[in-house]
Amino acid sequence: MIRASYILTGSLAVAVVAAGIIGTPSTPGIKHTNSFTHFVPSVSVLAPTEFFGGEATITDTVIEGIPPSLINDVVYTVSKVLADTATFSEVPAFAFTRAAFTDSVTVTEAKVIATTSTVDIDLSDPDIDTDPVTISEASVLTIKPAYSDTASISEAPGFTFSKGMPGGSISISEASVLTPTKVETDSSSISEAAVYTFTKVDTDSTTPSEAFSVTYLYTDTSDRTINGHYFNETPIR
Amino acid sequence: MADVIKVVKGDEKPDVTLSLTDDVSGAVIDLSAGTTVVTIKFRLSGSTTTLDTIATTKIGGGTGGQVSFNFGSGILDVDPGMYEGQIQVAFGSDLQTAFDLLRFRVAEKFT
Repeated sequence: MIRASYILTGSLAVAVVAAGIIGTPSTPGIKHTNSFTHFVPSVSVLAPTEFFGGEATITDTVIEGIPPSLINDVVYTVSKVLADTATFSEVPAFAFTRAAFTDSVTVTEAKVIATTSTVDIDLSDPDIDTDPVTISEASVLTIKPAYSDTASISEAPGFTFSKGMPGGSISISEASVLTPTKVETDSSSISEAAVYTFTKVDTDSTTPSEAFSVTYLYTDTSDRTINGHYFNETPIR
Repeated sequence: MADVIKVVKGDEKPDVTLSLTDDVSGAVIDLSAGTTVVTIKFRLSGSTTTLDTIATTKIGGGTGGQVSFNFGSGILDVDPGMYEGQIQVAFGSDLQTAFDLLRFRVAEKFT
């Protein structure tokens, strides 16, 4: 059995060295600041400012007998009710802080001046006339002078012949270019006659038959046998 | 031969030198006879189709049981993947095949 081993010649080995930042990358952290002030409830224990000044009566049931017996049904009766009341009050201390607004608002205002003149423009009467209103309009005129001169453009061909004209003459003739088109009047029609091929199936049959007709000539009319066999034949005479 | 020969698609190198020995005695196989030919049948792992028959060159006339080959003639113009090679030694008309297979991993070539 053959065992094979191999070695490689000329194979490329690559070592990679990473240049640049070496070290543990920093872990990004998110810092959150909240200005919300939590509600911290406070509890106060209120001590009564007035001591109990009433009477308390404790009674018990005694069963007559000898000896008398007691049952455990102590009843406490308080004749004085505490006048002090306790009131709980608490104001939640919420404080919200909003970051500074980035939007800005610009307010502009145009002055609206309304003036009223008290000048009396008509001194002929004692009243004070209102301000006169004067309407003026400037005509928009478009003045176009009427020119009487007209301009005409004319051009003369500026041919310059350097050579004398030939002595011959030029005559123009034209021959009609006719393109006759023949209109075909003949027409072709396609017709086809059906070609039937009948196949006769012969049903008649022929049966070959043959009858032997044996004619014997009897020369001997007295003997009606052939080799001893009789035939019902009329002998030919 | 559990190692994988790592090559790149379309390459012709590296050169692979095989050493053939007797599995029992450990003696080298004499490949010096002119009728002794060593070839590698190259195919895709898991396939039954031989893609190429790689010829080898005897080293030192073959007396040391060594032959070498590379991947010329477009042998590695194949899809990336795992391939295998079977070493066949023809001693004239007698054919003997190494049981262990050569294993190749063909990687994609960047274009």
